[in-house]
Amino acid sequence: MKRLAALGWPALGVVTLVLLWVGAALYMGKPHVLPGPWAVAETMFSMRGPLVVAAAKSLSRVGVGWLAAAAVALPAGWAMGAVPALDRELRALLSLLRPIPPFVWLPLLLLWVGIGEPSSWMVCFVAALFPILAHARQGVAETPVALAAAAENLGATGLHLWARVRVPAALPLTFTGLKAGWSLAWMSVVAAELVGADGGLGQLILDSRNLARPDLAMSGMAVLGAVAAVTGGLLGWAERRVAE
Amino acid sequence: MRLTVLLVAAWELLGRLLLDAHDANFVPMPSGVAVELFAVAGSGELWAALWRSALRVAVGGSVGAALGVLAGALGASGRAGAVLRAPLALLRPIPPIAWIPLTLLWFGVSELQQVVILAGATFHVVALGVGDAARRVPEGLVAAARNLGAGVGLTTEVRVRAALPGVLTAVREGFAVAWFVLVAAEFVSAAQGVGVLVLEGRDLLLPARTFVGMGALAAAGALTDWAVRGASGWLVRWT
Repeated sequence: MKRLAALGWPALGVVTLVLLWVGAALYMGKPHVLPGPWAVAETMFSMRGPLVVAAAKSLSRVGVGWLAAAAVALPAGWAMGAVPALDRELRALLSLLRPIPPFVWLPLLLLWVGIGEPSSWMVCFVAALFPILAHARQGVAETPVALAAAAENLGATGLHLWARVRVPAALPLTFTGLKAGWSLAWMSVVAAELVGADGGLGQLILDSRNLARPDLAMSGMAVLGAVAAVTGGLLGWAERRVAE
Repeated sequence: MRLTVLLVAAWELLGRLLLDAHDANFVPMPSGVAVELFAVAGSGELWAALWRSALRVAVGGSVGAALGVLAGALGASGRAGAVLRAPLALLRPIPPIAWIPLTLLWFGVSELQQVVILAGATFHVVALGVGDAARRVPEGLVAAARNLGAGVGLTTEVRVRAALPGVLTAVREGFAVAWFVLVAAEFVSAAQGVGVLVLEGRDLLLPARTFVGMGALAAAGALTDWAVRGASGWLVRWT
């Protein structure tokens, strides 16, 4: 009974939101400006093909960029955490590059690399790079010194020390970085698609503006939100599994 | 620091060695970027752009942060809080940038549209952070205050003060997101601003200008962060 009550209040909040939406849509009576939930639902169904294709495209871009960023940033971050000299050298450079929103690189990339998937991959790569790097570094740097020392005392050295002690100890923060990198890459790919990349959910939403189809925009946004939530949830689930 | 200087020098050197004058436009060297920086600063474009963008961030970010603090505080606890949190949690996964085309449809190409986008982006970040900070106030602290005879007003004050650092961190994050989103919003539709500078680099085939824009952006973001930190330090001292 208590479980039910606990669900009840959030549900009330959501229902209120939907009712407000319905009210506003009916009051305005202009479906080409503010469509009601029924219109959006109908569009989501009728456009499910293009929506899925666009979602897959955006997802693939984020996936490639994020994986590439992880491949580079994980070893680099862990190394930076373990070797203070390396950390000092790279820090200044990274702090200069980090504040630049990743999709800002897109115009340059389009100019140098041309239109196509690689520019989008690179934007996602840059986006995911810094969070993964920062957290991986922090994970290793904040490993209790006692832990590493104890392991060394028991005879662990070199690669063995790394694989069995340092990396696992750094995993929680590393995972936080991976999650942050994923969500940043996701935001950046949408921006990139709004600005110049071809296809994907961002462009779908943009097109809906040009076609004056807010119902399409809302469908795209709903799909975006759903994919972001689901993938974020998957990463969280993976993080909990690894923690065991 | 040395590495950075080394890389910049290597960039310049390689550029001079490998590129002729024509290509140098295409792939700018540090010297080219510096030249463009002076040009854009001298003509006043840089300052006008920075001012425009900063104004948008200031207004949109402040509105969003204020509303976010309110929503975060209200939503932190109790049944009313749960009611409020649910719809917000539903809307949160939608990247703020995705709202741009819809707001353009509703508000047209206008400063209002830019401010709305920024406010929305800041709102979610701040609301989340404030809610977090409010929930993390140690109940022991509040209980101790009550034991010492504090009434409702005083316990509330205890809560607020305990949560303050978290709230200020959330506000800082909110402004950082605001700059991020601002550039995207300007990319899609603005006549003037730092993001536009970056875009002009592509349109005018002047990548050096894009670099100037990036640099201005980084500087502006850092300045904003410094300002917010300063203000929050002052606020904490004053309360």
